[in-house]
This record gives sequence, C-alpha cells and structure tokens, in this order.
Amino acid sequence: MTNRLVILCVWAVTASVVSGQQPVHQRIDKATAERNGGAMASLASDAEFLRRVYLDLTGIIPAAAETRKFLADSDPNKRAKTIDLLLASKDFSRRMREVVSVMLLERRAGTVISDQEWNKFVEGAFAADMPWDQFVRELISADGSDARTRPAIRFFVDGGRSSHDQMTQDVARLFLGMNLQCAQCHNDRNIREYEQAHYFGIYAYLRQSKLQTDKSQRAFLIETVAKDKMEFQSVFSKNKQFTGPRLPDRGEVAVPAFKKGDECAAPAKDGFPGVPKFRPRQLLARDLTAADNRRFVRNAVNRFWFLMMGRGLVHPLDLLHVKNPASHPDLLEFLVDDFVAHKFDVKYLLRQIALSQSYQRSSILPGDIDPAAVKPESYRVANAKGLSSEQLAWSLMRATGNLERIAATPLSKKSKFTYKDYVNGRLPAPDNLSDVMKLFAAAFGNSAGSPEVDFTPSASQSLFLLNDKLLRNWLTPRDGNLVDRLTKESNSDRIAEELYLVSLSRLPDDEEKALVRGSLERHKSRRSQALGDLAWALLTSAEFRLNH
Amino acid sequence: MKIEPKATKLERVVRYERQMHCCRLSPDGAYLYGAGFDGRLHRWTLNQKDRHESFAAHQGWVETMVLHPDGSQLFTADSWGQVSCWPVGPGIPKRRWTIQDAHLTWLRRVTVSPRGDRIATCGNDHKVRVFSSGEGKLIRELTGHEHAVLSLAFHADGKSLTSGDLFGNVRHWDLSTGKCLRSLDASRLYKKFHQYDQGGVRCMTFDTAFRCLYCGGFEGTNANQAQGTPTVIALDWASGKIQTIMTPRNAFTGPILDVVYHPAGYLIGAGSSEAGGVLWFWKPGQAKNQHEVRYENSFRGLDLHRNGARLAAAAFGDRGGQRGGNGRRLTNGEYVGFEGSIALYTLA
Amino acid sequence: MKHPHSCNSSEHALTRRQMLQSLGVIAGATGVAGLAEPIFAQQARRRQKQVLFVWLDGAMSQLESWDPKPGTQFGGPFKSIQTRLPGVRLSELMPRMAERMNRFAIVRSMHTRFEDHSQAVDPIQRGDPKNRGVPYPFLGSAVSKLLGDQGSGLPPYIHIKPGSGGFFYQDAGFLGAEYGALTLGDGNPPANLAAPEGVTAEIDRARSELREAVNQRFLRHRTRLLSNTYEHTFRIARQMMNHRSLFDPARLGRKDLDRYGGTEFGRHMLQARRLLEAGVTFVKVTMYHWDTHGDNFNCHLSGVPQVDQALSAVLDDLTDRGMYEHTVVVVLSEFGRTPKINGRIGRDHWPECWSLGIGGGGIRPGVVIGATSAKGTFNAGAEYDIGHVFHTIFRALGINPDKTEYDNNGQPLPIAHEDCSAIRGLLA
Repeated sequence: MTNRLVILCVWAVTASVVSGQQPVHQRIDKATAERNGGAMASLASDAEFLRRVYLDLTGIIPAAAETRKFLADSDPNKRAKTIDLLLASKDFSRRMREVVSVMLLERRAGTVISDQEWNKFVEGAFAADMPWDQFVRELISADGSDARTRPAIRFFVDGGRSSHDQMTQDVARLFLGMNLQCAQCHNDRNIREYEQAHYFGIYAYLRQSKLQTDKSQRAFLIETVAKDKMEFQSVFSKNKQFTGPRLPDRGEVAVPAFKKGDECAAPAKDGFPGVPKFRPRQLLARDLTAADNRRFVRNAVNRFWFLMMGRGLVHPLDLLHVKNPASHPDLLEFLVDDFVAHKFDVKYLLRQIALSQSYQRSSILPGDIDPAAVKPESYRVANAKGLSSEQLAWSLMRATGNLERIAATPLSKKSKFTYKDYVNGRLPAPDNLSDVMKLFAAAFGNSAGSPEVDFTPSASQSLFLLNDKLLRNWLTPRDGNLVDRLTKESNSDRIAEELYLVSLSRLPDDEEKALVRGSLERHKSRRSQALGDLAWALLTSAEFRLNH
Repeated sequence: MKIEPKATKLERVVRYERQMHCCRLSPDGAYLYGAGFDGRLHRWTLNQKDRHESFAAHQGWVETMVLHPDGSQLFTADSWGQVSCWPVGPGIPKRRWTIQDAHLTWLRRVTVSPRGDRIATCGNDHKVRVFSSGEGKLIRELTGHEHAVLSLAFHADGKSLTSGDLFGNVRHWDLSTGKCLRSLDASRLYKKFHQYDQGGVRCMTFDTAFRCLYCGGFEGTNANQAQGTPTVIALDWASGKIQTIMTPRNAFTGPILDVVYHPAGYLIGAGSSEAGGVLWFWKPGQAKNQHEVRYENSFRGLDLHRNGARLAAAAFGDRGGQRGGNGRRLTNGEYVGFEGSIALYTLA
Repeated sequence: MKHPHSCNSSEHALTRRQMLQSLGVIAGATGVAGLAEPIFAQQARRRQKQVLFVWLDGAMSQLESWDPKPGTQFGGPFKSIQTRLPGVRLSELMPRMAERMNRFAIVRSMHTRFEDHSQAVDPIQRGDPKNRGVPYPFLGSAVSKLLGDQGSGLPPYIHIKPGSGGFFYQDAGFLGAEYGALTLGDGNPPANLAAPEGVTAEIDRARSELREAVNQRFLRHRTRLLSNTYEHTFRIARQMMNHRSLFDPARLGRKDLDRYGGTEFGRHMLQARRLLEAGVTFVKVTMYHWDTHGDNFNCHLSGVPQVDQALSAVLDDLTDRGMYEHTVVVVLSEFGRTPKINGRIGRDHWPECWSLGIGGGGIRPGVVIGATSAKGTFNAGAEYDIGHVFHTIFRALGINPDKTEYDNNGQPLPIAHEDCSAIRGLLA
C-alpha cells in the first residue's frame, strides 16, 4: 500500500508541474489528475497492462509465451515498445475491423456485400492507416461502381438501413454522436439542441439514395435527381418547414435548379437512370467529414476514447450536446484538435491513449475506499470492460490451446451454420473460425441493430458457458491443446502456473497454487477432467470475462 | 335428359336484405323457398313477379332445408338445434311439428330418406339423429363420430345413411341397427392449421345410381379462414376407396359448400370466395371440371329441381365488395350488413 | 440546469441502477447486497405481483366470446349462455368461463384506433402513449421494469409462443434490451439448461466452487459494478438449471394437460401457471391465427373453446394456490372483429368496439364494464382505449401512473397514455 501511495504522489506532482508542449499522453494524464475526485489507483502491474493492451489493440489475450517474455523483460520502455508492436501487427487491423463493424453495422447482416468483402475492405483500410475521415467518406459516398470501395456500401444497404429514416438516424448517431430519434417528429423537448431541422437536413442529403440492381442482380446505391427542398412538419405545429441538405451548425446546401433534361451528368444506361449533376450524398461525405466539423471529430475521438477507457468522455456516446458536457471538456477539445492535426490517424490516437498513465492505471482500488464512490468518468481506477463476443472467442480459443487447429480448419463450402440450428442440436459444434465467430456473435453479441456499449451479460450466456458443448470440447484433451499438455505435467505448481498464464495472463500466487493442488488431489481419479474443470473455472471467472 | 353445361343461363335473381344459406324449389316450380341469417322462412312466388313473403320460423341461422320426396313438406333446421316441418304451397305456412332440441349445439344438416319416412340431422355434438318425418319423433341416435358432424346423405337402399365430420371421417350407418358399418376416408378435407381444425366434409351427395359418394370441402388451407383449394372427393361406394379427387380447372381459393348430382351425369359444386361464387360442372371420374359459371356473390346451398332443368343457388356477400373489409365502413351514415340472394339457373 | 447525465445527479444514479437491473435473462440487480431471497420464498411470493398476459394474435371475435348478440342481425349461428353473473351472458363457446364469471371481469367497450394488424399489434401491447418518437416497451417489459426484481431469481418476463424462441429484446423498446422477453418457442426450454454429459451434480458443484474461489480473489479491492452483474447471470442460470423441470414440457402431468384442454395453447397456459408459481413476474402466452376473414364461425368453434378451457383451468389453479389475489390475468387481441359477416362467412377487423377479459389481483371480480349497442355495432356509452387498460393494469399492480414515469436517458416519459386514466369500475 505504501508503495502505491508513493507512486501516486510522484505522479500527481509530475502531472501538475509539466505543461505546455508535453506529449499528448501526458496531457491526458494531467487532465484526468485534475478531476479525479480522490486517490487514484497505482499503475497497473505488467501482467495487468499486458492483458489489457492486447485485448484493446489486438482483441485477444496474449499467448503464455508472450506474457512470460514481457514479465521477464527488464527494459523500462517495454510498455511503449509493446504498444508499438501491437499497433503494427496484423491483429490490429483485424481487431479494428471487428470494432468498427460492431460499432457501425451493429451486427446487422445483409446479402448485398459478403462478410469476406466487407472484412477485407475494413482490414485493408486499417492496415494501410487510412485516415478516419477518409474511411467515413468512403462509407458514405460509395455507390458500388468502384471495385475498391464497393464493400463500403454495406454501411447503408445491408441490415435494415434501406429506409431514409434509418439512414438519417444512424448517420447522426454514429458519426455526429446525436441521437435524433425524437427530432424526427419534433424538436427534441429534452435536448433543445436537437432540432427537427437537423434531422431533415441530414435526411435531405440522403433521400435521393436508392438501391438498384443491374441485370445480374448486382446492387448499387445510386442517387436520383434532387428537385427541391425537403418539406417537414412538427407533430406539434401546423407550419410546414423546408430545408435543403444541411448538417447541424453548418450552412444549408442549395439545391440547384437545372433545366429539364439538363439534370444529369451522364445519361441513363443499362436500366439505370442518369447520373445527376447534383449528388447530395457525395456532398454529405465531404461536409460530414470536414476537419472543421467538430461534431464529427468529437464523436470520433469520444468513441475511440471509449474503446480504450471503457467510458466516453461524453457518455452516452450518442448524446453529445451542450447539456451533456464531457467529463473533461478541455481534454476532449484538445484531443479533437490533435486528431485533426494528425490527419485523423486512428493509430496515433490510440497510441497516445495507450501510452497514458490514465490508461495504464490498475483496476485495483487505491486503499479501502468505497467502490461506489469511484465514478467511471473519474478514470481514477481502470474501468473494467466486458469482452466483446469476438474478444471472448479469440481469447477462449487461445487459452484452451485450440486456436491454431481451428484457424487451420478451412470453412467447408457446404457449411450452413446458424446459431438456431446449433442450439437446437441440429448441428455439431463448429470447428472453423468463421462458424465459431458466428456462434459467439449470436451467443454473446447484442441483437442486430442494438449498439454494444454497456456490458450486458445474460443468463443465456452463462448457460452457454456452463453447459454448451463447444467450450467443453475445447477443454477435452486433444492434439496438444491446453488440457492435453497439462495432463502430461505432474508438478501441480507448474500446472497452476501454466493455467493462470494462459487464461488470466498472470502468474498464480501461493494461495492459487494451493487451490490448484487441492483440487487435483481431490479429483485424482479423474485427473484430465479435473484439469478441464480448473481451466473452466478460470475461463468463466469475472477476471477472464472482463477486460480490467 | 341431357344438359349442356355451357348453355347454363341465369334465369333470375331474387334478393333479400339478409344473407341466404339454403333454398328449395317446389316440385311444381311455383315457389322458391329460402332461409338464412334471419331465421325466417322466405317464399318467393315465381309466377307472381317473384312475390316475396317471409314467416317467423327459427332462431339463429337456418343453414339447411330439405323437401319431402312427395314435395308436400319442407323440413327446416336452425343453428340452435330446432327442426320444423312445413307444408309446401300457398298461404301462411303452419308448422306441422317442431323438434325443439334436435341437437343442443349447432345443427348442421337436415336430410330426408328417399322414401320419405325418415329425416336425419347432425351437429356439433358429434351426433347423428334419425326422426320420423311424419311426427318428428326420435327413432335412432347414431353415435361414433368424434368431431362435429357437418353433412349427411341417405342411400337409396333404404337402410344406409352416411355422415361426414370435421376431420374428414365418413361413416356408413345401418339404420336398422344404428351401427356404424364402416368408415370411409375423406380426411384430405381436414387440415390442422396450427392450433385450429380446418375444413371437414362440408357437403355430400350420391350419384343417381348410388355408386359413388361425393364429399365436398377444401384442401390445404394456408390460413385460419378456409383459404384452400375447393375439392370434392369421390368415394366408390362398393369399395369405399377414393375414386377421383375433383378440383377446379381455374385457380380458386375457398370452400365448396354444397354439391348436387345432375342425372345427366354431372356433379355440380358451389364455391365460395371473396371474389364471388362459382358453379363447377364435373363429369364423374374426371379430376377437372368441364365448365364453370361465375356469380357476383359467393354461394352456399344448392337445390336441383326435380325436372333437372333448374338449379337454385343461395348466395351471400355484398355486391361489388363496397361494404366489406376492415373497420368502420358506413353506407349513408348507417352500418349496413350484407344482403343475400338466390340465383336461379336454367340448365339446358 | 445540470443535465441528468452529468455526475452525481439522482437521475444518473437511477440510470446506473437501471443498467444494473438488467433482468430478463440479463443480470438482475439486487445491488451490491446480492440476491435478496431464495427462489420460491413464501414471503416473497406473498408480496409479489404477477401478470398472466394472454395475447390472441389476429383478433378473436368479441361476438363469439365475451359479447354475444345471439339472434340479432350480426349475431352468427351461436347461442349465448347464462353466466354466474345475473343478466350477463357469454357465447355458448365459453361454458367454463361462464361458470367463473363471478371471478372475472370483462370490458365490452374497448375502442381503439388501428384497423390493421401491422398498425395495431405493437401499439396495443405497448399501451400506445402519444407518439414520443421512441419505441415504448411492451407490457411485459414495462411491468418487469416498474415492479423491479421481486426476488424470484428467475427472469421476470417470459413469453411462451408457438414457433421460434430466443431473447426478444425488441419488446423492451427504449427501456433497453435487458428488459426483453425470454421467449420459449413452442414452450421449449432455453438452450443449454442441462449440464453436459459427464458433469454430475457433484462435479458441477465442485467446478462452481472453484470458480467462486477464483472470483473471490479477483474481487478483492475491485469495484464490482460489472462483475456483480456477471455473477448474477450465473446465479439466474443456476436457478434455471436447478429448476430445469420448470421449463421441461415433458414434466407436465397428463391430467393437468387434459384439464387445460389437451391443446398446444392449453400446454402453454399450464407452463405459464408453473412459471408464475415459481415466481416469474410476467408471463405472456401467445396464440396466433385468429384472423378469421373467412369461415369465422367454424374457426372460432375450434379456437374459443381452447381459450375457454385453458383460461378456466388457470383461473382455478391460481385461485387454489392463493395466487389469483396478486396475479392480474389479461386476455386480449389487437382489436375485435366486424359485426358484419362478409361473403366468405368471415369477420374483418373492428377496432370500433371490442372486448377484453381481465381478472385477478386488484381487479374487481364479476363486473362487466361498458356495453355495445343491441346489434353489437358500436359502443353504447363510455368507451375505453388501450391507454385506459394500461392505467388499470398498473393500478391493479400497485403502480401509480400519475406518479411514476420512465427516465429515458434523461427524457421523462409517462408510463401510460396521459389522456387516459384507470377504469375505476374495474379496480377492486
């Protein structure tokens, strides 16, 4: 305890003295220190840090060997090095693809763009360090005609976003942090800032967009000719109002009047109408992602911050407005400027956050303080985050030593895996990555269209962990998997070490070694099952289920 | 006699403000009797400009009526279980007798034996009852059906009666002993649609030679609203086996609610749908009809005049469908129900 | 004014609690103190309020059930029968409920606005307050939320229906997915209720103890916000496993099944009774396909007796078990059916005047509210919208809709239509 306090004091002093041109991660720490509201937790242990940064940046817990290596490394700079290593890894693009897909598609499925096409597109974008504004621009503007950006049309066309209302709400919510649901019918009565004109301003950008298929049933998100302004009316008023395309706080785009027959830049062709000269969705892509559109940048920074810190600077994430200010307003504005200055470089932003001591704080409470007094927005203590279904699947496969086998099993062309068939006993447990991911998404993800922000465990999920055959299979000795390896080991301390390293990414203490020893002694007659049970207990524990 | 179905002509239509379920032509062709939703006995005098009279008769619906073979009496029955016997002819008809509770639940059908000495009734209580036609005295109760009994037909042998139920079971009864001699299978006319029993043998008739029993209804409904294919199952009387499954040539959705056999060798079925009514003419042994006659409203009961030259068909629904559908549809500010009609066809 | 989402406001605290109160299959909240009471606790049960909600989807005809008009223009073929209430008659298709009308109540003068299923099914079950631009919760989600955790350890809102099951989060509307319905498709139990092969009760206990020990170590010196929620789901899962027979259709007794009619609907109603007995707050039973645009009378002949028998049986069982006095039983559809009988002998959709059945705790037994005209075409006198029904149900459950409102991320929302009030004559 004394040690912790000392570190804490040193920190506080450092943070208050340094200012000006200090590194961004230090600015972050200064800001959180100023508003912590009480004692802060010490720095996370190496093990705690490693597990967290692996989960956040690569979506999977570290392999036991990586943990051992990191714990043994005496380089004082090893945390920063690891952060850079992970950001440069292939797993980072995959992790970002998973994050961005869940955030933007909200587990909506569709058939226009296949998972493979979408995944390749998003992973490619992150692998190439595509700036966030460009990425969003492509999502908004893609119409399907350009092979490279074609998968981006999934954002609008797959999974129930075919209505202009849904498109409008989702653009506002996901890219501006504005939940404009109420504003569809009237000015939001609780949030003055959210006006009905905002809703229809965005709507006006989108209402010409339309899905159309060509002769070979290939779908495109075309735009038809925009003729006039959008008319709307509040349910509380009889007055008709009009707006052209307009983003909140920004000027209205004039709808140009063309002579009849002169509206198109390219004539109708192959059953498609002509390509209009005025294409509001293209303008939306430009205007929305403009560097001076602070709502857009703020929303982006806030969402990436949330990803790392478990709590948005503004929370809920879709209620960014004056009366719901950021917990650290100056920090948010600083990060917004910095993100723009660094050309919307997501990797840069995540790196700065990861380097901060605010990120690297322990989740262990400082002293005997009342846990209820620790507000998540104080960042005094690391906020625990639930593992996403993807993080859980990857980590369970790795921990149980089945990842390599499953990753090497090709997806059968005939596989028609569905969760429904599986839970109803019509299908065996999946053995390839694609189907395993589908199963976990169905079992642990939210339903389509519902954002995954809070940790919402359910009894069905617990029943899955308790009784489903998949995890059970993974904990049955086979081909050098975890339990197979452990059955060949006789020393119970070494078993305990391996178990804790692979599952919780840390070494066991004496108490825990004793727990393992005692359990194995009690279940001598069924040793391999007992090893499986031990692993199960660790893998279903809160310590595993949470990223802390 | 011979008829040419294509020459079937609509001779006249009599209308009434309430829906009509059943009809009978008097043997002399002078009177057309009808009954339906209002429980009254209606009589149109055809040679007096279709003069319409109606008489208090029943409660509930009157869905079924039958003429005594000698043409002098008419038996009517209602959904509350009452059967009455009426004289046929001019003047105010006076009930000869009434059976108050022939069935305690929905009475589905009354029919008369070829010799005229017996009438039979059936109902939702799973029972078939046989009464004397002279006094309406209960003679026999035939028990064995496990579901609502919807249709009846006497055989000319004087001792056989057939009855068909909701589940498509057809029973052959020995009238002298009250025993069920055999069961015939028309279960194609039944479908369990989710939790609901759908269909049943809605109507049945023998051919003139009594070699075949035709059972009508519908098959394969896809909703809890009789949305199936109109179907008649022809059962070979001797073997009890299905001889032919008769359905319309042109697509049609809805039940067949009555069948009559024309001695010229046609089975005529009456169809009911939201698009109106149809008469189908099948040649025995053929799966598809030879001819069809469309009508503006959907059909219920049929009656073939004993000379074979006229066919009456009770119908109901609203003409043109203007008053139907969901919600508050008012006609001149009034909530008006649908009307009924009886279409009289000339067969030649 | 401070926005509710800024720190320390009471509304904020409420939202946290809301999140914690992830019931449904989602973790429930008894706060830091852990689970309040063991399942089946007598005391808890006595204090508990429960609801059996019977949804006759597609719309049952009021004329062939609660509001017969025999022998009139639109009355149809059926007779009516005398009930235990002098002067009150039901369709002959409901002989059993007729015998129990002294314990039940009817509203005969419902009047709602939607005449299509797509328009009506959701609003009627959501109570349809004025359009707030947010999806309102279905009654089951609303009641789960408003009554809170009643300590049964079981999910508060379970829906039994033909077809597929799962977790129907959409029911919860703006309350958030956790208030959705655990749906037992075809009455089948939730997946993974049985311990895997080879895991005996003893082994299961041992592995759970291990798990507990691992957790204890982790929870030292950590905030328990998320881990408590997570642990609660394990407790609910274990309660469900321990009461596996509760979800096992094979455990339903032949005699009971027969008493409930031997039908699929009867089986679901019997399962509902068992879930209520076990302490589930809100059980919904759906019976589909009442949309009888053709052959209305034969269809009702098949359907209404199924309702009559199962509803009567459940009323008897709840009464016998002393549960009826705290359980509201509601039977309704999205609207009624037209008095007019169409050309297909069907009845169409009719929101103008229709009936619902209600009884149990907080509801005055043996009353008939409202009346339709002699021909059953329109209401004769006061009429009630679905908002009135929600007010009434909430009141019967001891919730005051005038003093209770939802907090939707800081947006206060009424729990029932603000232009309506409870149907006074219905409240005990």
